[in-house]
Amino acid sequence: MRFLTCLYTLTLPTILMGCLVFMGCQHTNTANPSPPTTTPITLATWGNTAEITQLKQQLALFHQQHPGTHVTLRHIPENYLQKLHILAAAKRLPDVFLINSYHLPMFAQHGLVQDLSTFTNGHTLANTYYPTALQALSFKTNTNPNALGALPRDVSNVVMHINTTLLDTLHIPHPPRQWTMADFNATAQAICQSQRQVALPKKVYGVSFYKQPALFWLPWVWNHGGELLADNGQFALHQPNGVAGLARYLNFHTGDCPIAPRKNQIGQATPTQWFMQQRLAMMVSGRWVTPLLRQHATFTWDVWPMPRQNPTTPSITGVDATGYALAASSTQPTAGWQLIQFLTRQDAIKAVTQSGLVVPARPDVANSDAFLAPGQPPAHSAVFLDTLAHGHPTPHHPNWGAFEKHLTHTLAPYWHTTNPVSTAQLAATLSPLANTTQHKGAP
Amino acid sequence: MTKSNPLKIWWFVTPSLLGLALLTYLPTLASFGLSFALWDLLGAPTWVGLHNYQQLVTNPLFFKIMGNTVVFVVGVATGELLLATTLAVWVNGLVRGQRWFQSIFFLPVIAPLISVSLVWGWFYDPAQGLLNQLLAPTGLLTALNNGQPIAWLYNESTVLWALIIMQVWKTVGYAFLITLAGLQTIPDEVHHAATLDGSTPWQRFWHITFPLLTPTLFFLVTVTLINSFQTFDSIYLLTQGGPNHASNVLVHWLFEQAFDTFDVGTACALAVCLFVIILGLTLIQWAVRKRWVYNE
Repeated sequence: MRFLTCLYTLTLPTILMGCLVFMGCQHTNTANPSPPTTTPITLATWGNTAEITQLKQQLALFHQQHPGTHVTLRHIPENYLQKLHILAAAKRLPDVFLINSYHLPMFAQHGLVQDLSTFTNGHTLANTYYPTALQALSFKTNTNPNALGALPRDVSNVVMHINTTLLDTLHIPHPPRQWTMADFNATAQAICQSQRQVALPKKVYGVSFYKQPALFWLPWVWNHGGELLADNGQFALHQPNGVAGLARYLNFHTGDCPIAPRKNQIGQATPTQWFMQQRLAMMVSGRWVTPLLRQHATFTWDVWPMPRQNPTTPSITGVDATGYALAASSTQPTAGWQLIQFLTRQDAIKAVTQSGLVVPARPDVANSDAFLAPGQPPAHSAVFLDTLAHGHPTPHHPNWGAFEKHLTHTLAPYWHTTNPVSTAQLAATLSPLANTTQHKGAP
Repeated sequence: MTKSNPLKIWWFVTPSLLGLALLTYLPTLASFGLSFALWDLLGAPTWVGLHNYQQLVTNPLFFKIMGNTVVFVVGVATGELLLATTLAVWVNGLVRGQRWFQSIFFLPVIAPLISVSLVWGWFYDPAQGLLNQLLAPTGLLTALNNGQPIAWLYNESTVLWALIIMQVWKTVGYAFLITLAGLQTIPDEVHHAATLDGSTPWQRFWHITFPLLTPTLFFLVTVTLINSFQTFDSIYLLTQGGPNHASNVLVHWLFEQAFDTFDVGTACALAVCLFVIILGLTLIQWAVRKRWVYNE
């Protein structure tokens, strides 16, 4: 009996472990087995129900045109990046995956994405896609200083959304289309001051305020001639222009008539919700809020470029891009490349654009009715495109997430202060960061 | 059966042991190993020895978050046990309606935390929150904040306490039920005898009920401390550790390190610290139980 017990205790766990290991080694999705004659590839993406419905239509078309390839869609609606990291750690990265310019560098640094420029046979893509989008998704390798990590689907930039109904109610003239920082200040102050004459149901603030992500406040730094990181990757926000721009932003909360609400005033609500409730007259945001505003806004609104430093300088805003990357571990790179080309062709990007959520990465779609949507707000959708010419890629770096968190924490005393923030004080806070470039968590 | 059929025992136990080994012991060991490495999940882990621990103990934020964790754990454990005991003693004394109160007090325990957090988030909201609306007529807002609404979740001095109150509300039902069960095991005769001897209600509680309840309370103290140390979801949903890390606790920080900044090595080092703290506390409790737990 003892012999049997020992035998049993050894064999059962061994069998079970063997089964688990065997299951773990299976590569194909058993829920969606593909016929043996087809090439199976996986595609990972985020997106809401409408986006996924539209993507599934595109995949159905792809299957019709490429009957030899079967695509299994992995929809990851929440915590996409975290799950992608875990898939990478498990060596099960999908063949093709959607990724943005913030996160691509981490994957590129570890050699997890293929250089797509090797598939283009020397053909230039600059005529097909916005160069800023291509630039945002590029990275350097030992052999190629312009390796392409993903083929762009869309670009993201932030612009100023203005509730023009509210300006009219407060008898404030609409700002000029090519407005400057001075025009912005005048409008924001007028919104605050005019409520001393015109009684509104609830106090209205001039403009939205975010402490994170940095893409919401970096335009204020750039439009003052400042930089977060210099070309060599060194921290540069502590330089005078950068400090001036950031100080101006942080002082939105200060003075006799603060122009932005603080987080402890806005509470659980988001700036978008406050804009919808007409408690914010101006909001810095991207194209992604357009469907929501089109559907629910009960007022007239439009978009303006971010205010420029002076009439002779361009309006600068961040430009990020999202595109489809091909995993370096993919065993089906040709099929993967076919899929990427298919999903970034004109018709596919047009379909995504018609949702109203994105600025297309292709000028041929961007300049069509699919994006400009005449008759629908915003009346000046072209503002999103005009700003691309002087778009500033948000600094992308493998350590960006850690660095942004560290920066936000360093600036903690200033985010909610009602005391005026001086440039000297801010420079003193930021200067030590210039020496932390080699530390963990900093670029 | 145990002596005649040891094989059968193994049939029953092995799946559970295998599950524990694969899903608990192996990850625990792996975490311990990874706490000595730099790893962002994408590349191969790099051995760095004690670097992660060294970074932690030289980071002032670690001590701030450790302090927050201690305040949170002590606040929740104390609030929960005091409230649970009070409620249980009260309900145990009721002739009618015991079942009804048991259901009412247990309801928050089974309520989904996501909805509970949303409701509490709005309850504490500075602009439209019910709490400020309730406090306004009492004059407390004037006394505390010059009549201005208090931003409970956005103020460094109030956020942790706001979270403690929510956590106590959410979990007190479980401790209440266990305490009530403990109270109901105490024979009525003991109380009757003491009453006949002329003891007051307080004397009966302090000299009879409490000592006989200590085995239950010992279990609750242990479980509550462990659970409070592991609180993550309410903080993640309501404050993300803010403002300025005022409500950040070890487990939330661990999550941030692992999945915001992908510094898995530091996250594992934090997990090891947490493990050591919980283990140490549990061992201390176990060692001192004879001094205060009846019948031990």
